[in-house]
Amino acid sequence: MARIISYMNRFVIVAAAASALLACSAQAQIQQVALPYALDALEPEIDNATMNFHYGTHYATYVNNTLAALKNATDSGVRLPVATSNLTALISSIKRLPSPLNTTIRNQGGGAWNHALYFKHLTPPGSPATQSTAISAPLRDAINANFGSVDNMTAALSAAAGKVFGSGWAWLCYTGNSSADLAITTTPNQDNPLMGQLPGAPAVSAAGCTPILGIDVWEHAYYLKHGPKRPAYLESFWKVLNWQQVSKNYDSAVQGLELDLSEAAPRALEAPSKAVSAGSSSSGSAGFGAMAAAAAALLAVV
Amino acid sequence: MASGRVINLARFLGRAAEPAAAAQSSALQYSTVGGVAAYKLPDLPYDHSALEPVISGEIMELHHKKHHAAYVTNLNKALEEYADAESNKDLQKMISLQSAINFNGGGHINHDIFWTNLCPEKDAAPPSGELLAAIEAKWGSLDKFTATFSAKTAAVQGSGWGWLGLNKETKALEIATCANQDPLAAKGLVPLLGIDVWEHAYYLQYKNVRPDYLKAIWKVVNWENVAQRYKAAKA
Repeated sequence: MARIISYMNRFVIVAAAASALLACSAQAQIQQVALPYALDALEPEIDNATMNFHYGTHYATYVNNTLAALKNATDSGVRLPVATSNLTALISSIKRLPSPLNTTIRNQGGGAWNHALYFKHLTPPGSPATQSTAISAPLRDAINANFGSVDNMTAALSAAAGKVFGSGWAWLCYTGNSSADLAITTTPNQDNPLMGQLPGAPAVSAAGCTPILGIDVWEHAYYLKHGPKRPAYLESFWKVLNWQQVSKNYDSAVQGLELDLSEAAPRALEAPSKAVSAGSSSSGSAGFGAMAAAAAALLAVV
Repeated sequence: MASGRVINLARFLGRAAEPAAAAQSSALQYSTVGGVAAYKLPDLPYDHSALEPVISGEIMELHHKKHHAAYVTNLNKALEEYADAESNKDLQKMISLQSAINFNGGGHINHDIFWTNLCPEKDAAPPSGELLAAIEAKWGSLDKFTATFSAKTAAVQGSGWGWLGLNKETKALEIATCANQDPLAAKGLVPLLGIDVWEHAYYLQYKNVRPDYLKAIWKVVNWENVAQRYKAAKA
């Protein structure tokens, strides 16, 4: 009897520890992605001042406003259909969120998601990841199949980005449609194709697709350096685009993994990374470490 | 090639407010130099640096000579293509040009009003008379009006404008916001005072702190111009 009880005690202790670890990573809240590069490292293509404001203020504000809205909702006893820690799930489920939370998640949560994708797929100019040789074979095949060549695709995406009137984004998306699995689309303000076709919004081609590459064309993304000259910014953008990350994004999308950008890595399957900065595993035991590392990296760059 | 016909911009800007829109667009400068009908970029009623320190000369130059100028250029181009399509009875082409006409036509109309709504700080005086009475009747005081206007305008998502307009039917003043360059006339309101909150209107100076820009801009509002527009709208 005593032996059974001691086994049970050990079980309880282990179970308690396990659930504490799980609870720890489940409580991981939405946060900014940690940058694996310094805020001035994208010079001269994207200037330090822009990065300071764009990452340190605009993006930070979207995250803070999202967190505040979620806290408000859960404190008021609002039941949400998805975990508040999962930003991708939240914006994919916008139509199922109650008002007025749905509007706040659309504008602020969308902002948080979009900027996470954006900053995560930038890298210092001249680095190997910016070369087209860094494009993975599967992504290259998909680009060629859909657009003929990488150059065709980047030209088409730049053209779409140039045509966005007002604030918005241009996207290369994974559609999941085997005959045409990549598409280019644009959305206004902080809307995102994952939100689907929202009532009252302009028609989004490929609504519901998963963005793997996003170009921010809000004026704050380029105005300090380029003034009104959006085309000059678009030229610079391609020189700091991290094709390795875009390839990873494509890979995740193809596998149907949810990009949980709060932990800066796709859920599950990835082996824990030794790097302190972005890219830590989201598995339970590393979850806490990832949070701490991301927070440290964030403090280091701001 | 231009047909030389004058295209009434109001046709594209919202059936609901055609009379207002027509009056608005007919106030835009238009020339037929060399047989080519074209809208013209107006001059500012003051130097580019005249609104300092509230709005920097750098912003005013870019805003007027680049952004507004581009709306005018692109509007003229779209209208020319539209005239061609119309004479070729190419309905598909005509339809496809409508968003360019809306964007650029709206941009031209809005900025044409905006420049006149502003004046150097030393020339600015608070509203008085009928306009002040109407503002106070509706919002209680000028301060409450400006606070409400600023709050609603700060809340515009992305690019857009905050407006004080006159409801043509009720003859009442209303605050409204519009996205992008959507003209206020499409909401059935006559524009009296517009504040541009596209980032290009303030970013170089105020960065992301749109509320600071909205707080400061009241110092350079030309209430006399607003009153003139109010009087004309009520007539």
